[in-house]
Amino acid sequence: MTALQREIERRGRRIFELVDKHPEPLFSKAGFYQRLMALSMRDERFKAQLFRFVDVLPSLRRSSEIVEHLDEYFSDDGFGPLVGVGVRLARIVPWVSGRILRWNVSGMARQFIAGRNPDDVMATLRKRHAQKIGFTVDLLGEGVVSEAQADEYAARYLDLLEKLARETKGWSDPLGKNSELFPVVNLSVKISALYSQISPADPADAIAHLAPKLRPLLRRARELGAFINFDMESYAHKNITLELFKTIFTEEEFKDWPHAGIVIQAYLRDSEADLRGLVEWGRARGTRFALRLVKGAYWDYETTKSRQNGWDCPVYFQKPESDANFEALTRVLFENESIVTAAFGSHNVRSIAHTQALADELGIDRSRFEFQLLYGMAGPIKRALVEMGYRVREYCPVGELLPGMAYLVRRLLENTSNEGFLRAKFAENLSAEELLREPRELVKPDGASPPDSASVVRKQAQPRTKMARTKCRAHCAKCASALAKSIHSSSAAKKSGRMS
Amino acid sequence: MNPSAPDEIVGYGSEAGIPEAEHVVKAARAAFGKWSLTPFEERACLLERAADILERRRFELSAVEVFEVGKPWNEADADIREAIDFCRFYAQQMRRLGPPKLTQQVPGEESYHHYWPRGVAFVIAPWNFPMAILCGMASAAVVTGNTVIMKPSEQSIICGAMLMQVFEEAGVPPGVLNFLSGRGSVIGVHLVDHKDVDLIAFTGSREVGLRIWQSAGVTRPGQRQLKHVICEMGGKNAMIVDADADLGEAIGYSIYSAFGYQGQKCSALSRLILLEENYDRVMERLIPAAASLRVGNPEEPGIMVGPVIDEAAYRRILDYIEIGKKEATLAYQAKEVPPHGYFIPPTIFTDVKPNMRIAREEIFGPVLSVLKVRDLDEALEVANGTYYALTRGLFSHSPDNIERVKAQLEAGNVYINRSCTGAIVGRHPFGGFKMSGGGTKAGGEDYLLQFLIPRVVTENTSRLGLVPEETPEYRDEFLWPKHQ
Ligand SMILES: Cc1cc2nc3c(=O)[nH]c(=O)nc-3n(C[C@H](O)[C@H](O)[C@H](O)COP(=O)(O)OP(=O)(O)OC[C@H]3O[C@@H](n4cnc5c(N)ncnc54)[C@H](O)[C@@H]3O)c2cc1C
Repeated sequence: MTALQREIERRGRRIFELVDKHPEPLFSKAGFYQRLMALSMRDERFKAQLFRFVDVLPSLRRSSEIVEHLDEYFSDDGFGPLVGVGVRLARIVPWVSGRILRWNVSGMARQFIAGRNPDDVMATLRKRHAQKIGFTVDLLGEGVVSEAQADEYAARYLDLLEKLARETKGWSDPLGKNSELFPVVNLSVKISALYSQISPADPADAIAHLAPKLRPLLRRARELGAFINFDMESYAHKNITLELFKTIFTEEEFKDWPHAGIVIQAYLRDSEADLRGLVEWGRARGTRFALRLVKGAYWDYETTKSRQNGWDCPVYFQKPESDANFEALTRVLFENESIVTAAFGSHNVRSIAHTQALADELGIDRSRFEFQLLYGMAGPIKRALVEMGYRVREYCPVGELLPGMAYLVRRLLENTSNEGFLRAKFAENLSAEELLREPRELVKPDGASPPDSASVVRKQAQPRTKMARTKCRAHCAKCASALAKSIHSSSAAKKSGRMS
Repeated sequence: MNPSAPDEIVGYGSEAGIPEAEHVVKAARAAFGKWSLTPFEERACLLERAADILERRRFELSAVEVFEVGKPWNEADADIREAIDFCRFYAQQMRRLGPPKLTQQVPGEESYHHYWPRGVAFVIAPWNFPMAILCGMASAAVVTGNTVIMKPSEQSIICGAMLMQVFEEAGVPPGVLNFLSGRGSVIGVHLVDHKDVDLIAFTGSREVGLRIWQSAGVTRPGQRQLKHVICEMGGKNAMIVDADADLGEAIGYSIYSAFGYQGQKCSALSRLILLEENYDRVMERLIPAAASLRVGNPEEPGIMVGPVIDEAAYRRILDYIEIGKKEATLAYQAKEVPPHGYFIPPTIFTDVKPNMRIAREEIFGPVLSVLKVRDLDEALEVANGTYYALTRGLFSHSPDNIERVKAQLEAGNVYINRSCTGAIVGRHPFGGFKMSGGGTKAGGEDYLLQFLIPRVVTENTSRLGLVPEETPEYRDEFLWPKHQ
């Protein structure tokens, strides 16, 4: 065993010890939620129906509609043999009535949503501050289909920023060291909420529209000493987000501002190249920037979408590949600590322990990076990290139930995922040894192909050109401009010909 | 001519007259004998070679579409992709249909069912999918052993000519596929009536389709057989938004279905049917969503709404907008569109009633009518209440409502919780019924049968009661002289 692995295990066990000291179920809201989650883990079909039901619930207005939907989703004969899920559900909610059900699901959502509005959220943030846990606030929004919505969203962000700055005046850094790298006020923004017409084929247009919407927010953040993070969404938006980040923060006004951050998703095969690209850009720029490393929240979406379109899948197929890559990228981040401030967004104790051990090995002080975890998840791990003297920041979504549903369903999927760490630890009680294994050893050499390969689809129909790929776009552009040139010149020639 | 900039010439095409039309009919007739006796495997391979060439030239060809017919990039790409898919799919289907198949196993007799081509096919294609539809109809006719006269639309001659080039490079023998550009009113009419044309494959407007249907029914002196007509015509497509629909999704897809390629797809959405209950909530978001669309020259990569095809279309659509203003309420019209070129601002009408012209007639432009209904019963009635039946669909998260609508919507293609455009060959065989077409389903398993005549060959194989053991299920093609 390598020294690093030994250290990782030592750290991991320590975290588990601290976690076990304050026993708290993974899903702290007892009762309804816990039972549903337990059922979902046992029965994939139930889980699918449940999550679909949760997804539609906020758009139902009458109680009768809710009960009708409940019936339609769960009384399907197919569930009969599967222990009669309809019956089971009725047992959990014997008083089935629309209002109660909605109330329960809202409760579920409230577990992951830190507040309905900026006023609401302050109470949570204060509590966390007392526990030495920082925050980054994310505004939940509905799918943005128009510029009116996008503008409204941008305005809400600006309000939120003002409010947070006002309410947190005088808050001190939890570690009291290197605090200049970690402003108290931290906002996470999603570019898809700020422009409704993002086309992967046209990054220049997206950037041209997004930059003017972001500048006022960034300017104000800078004045208020706040931090802005660009969250990462699906692969189709990835290159645009990276481009936008580099473009804006190379502008004269923001060139020397260190409090901007972006995200790299370790489940992407491109992630190492993208990270190295950012580091190189950062060095040329000459000012620190921040980077949140995560595994990525859209795994199911990306695999389905690329299979549907017959595209090569941008994400790894094996969970341990993502874990191993997360660790490899952790190293890249630490090796470039002189230009990039790292944050690690994970609930996986192995990933966290690895980060700690590697930081020590490379001599990076624990006050110079932070762990970030999601609101409503893995509370005991957060507490353990604080106790060990690490920086912890919580990602706090704010918003109403309706726009929050997509977010809620993503969290539910994550918590019940077969591959997930939290399920393995808290629902299946795997041993510490099992949980702390070196991910590289778990990668199966023959598992490189997708579960149901895109090539099947590709044989049936020609895939769409993947405009999110720079290469495809460049090829299209070349052909179009060559043709344009020949048309313009021949039309011009014709015109002059006619005149003479 | 570039519809985004009408003073730009994209290329020159020639206009054939009656003598040229006569010439190609002769050529097609002359080539038929040999081509019909070419093994289907060779014909299938020809299509696959064409597909490979299309794939190689994919970006170049889609660039031409951007300029000749004003397609946004992704739409142009989709058109070439569809052309490729047609070639490969029909090649594969021909291999399935090619070998003569034993009808029943009976001692002492063998009976094989197989197909012959019909003869000379006349393919008349529209400009809105300048490669895909032309290629789909022509490749189906070619692979089934017919010889073909291929007439691209007057508005997309260059795309048509490039497709011809592709087939020539793929090695199509002389006379098998004949390119003929010219006016529908001259050569189109002449060839539809021609005694030596056996099959007409048409995709276009209802008006022209019905005329073809009629004249093809008249027997001309010297005509050998009944003319077979494949007609794919328009639509007045509708989507219903249920009370529990995910509005972000419903609006996103509706906007794309209605305004993608300026509404110039046969499958495009033109009637959005909203339940009273969520009418206000949908409208509140629909209009700003339409207002956010990028209208402009499709040379720019992310443009979604470009120009309509030509001046005639431009005027016709503007006339419909005037009619709409009189009949209903203009709820939205984009303010800024490029001043030159045939740009029509995306337009939405509300207070539309099912009997109004804008709710019944195909406009083929970026105009969406919104109809308000009481409940799902009325929604279905309104959706089904036009003489077209091409694409229709529903946004809903109620399993029961989804089941019901799946069973009751009158449309060749029913779409649930997705856009009603963008059919993929083989996956979503495309085509409608009622006045939208004859149910022929391009890109479907039955399509090639339209180009074929079934034939049965029966032989008494018993000699003095001695019979071969068992007759094979399939046999070699009937070809004479036998191919090596
Ligand atoms: C503070 C914070 C901010 C975040 N911001 C973002 C963001 O901007 N963008 C974003 O996309 N996500 C973001 N996330 C979400 C994050 O990606 C998920 O929470 C995370 O992937 C869960 O990883 P884990 O290490 O906690 O759990 P683990 O259980 O160790 O890992 C689960 C992850 O592994 C990956 N995975 C699962 N199955 C497979 C498989 N078969 N093959 C390959 N990989 C697989 C997936 O990424 C899955 O989410 C953020 C998370 C946190 C905590």
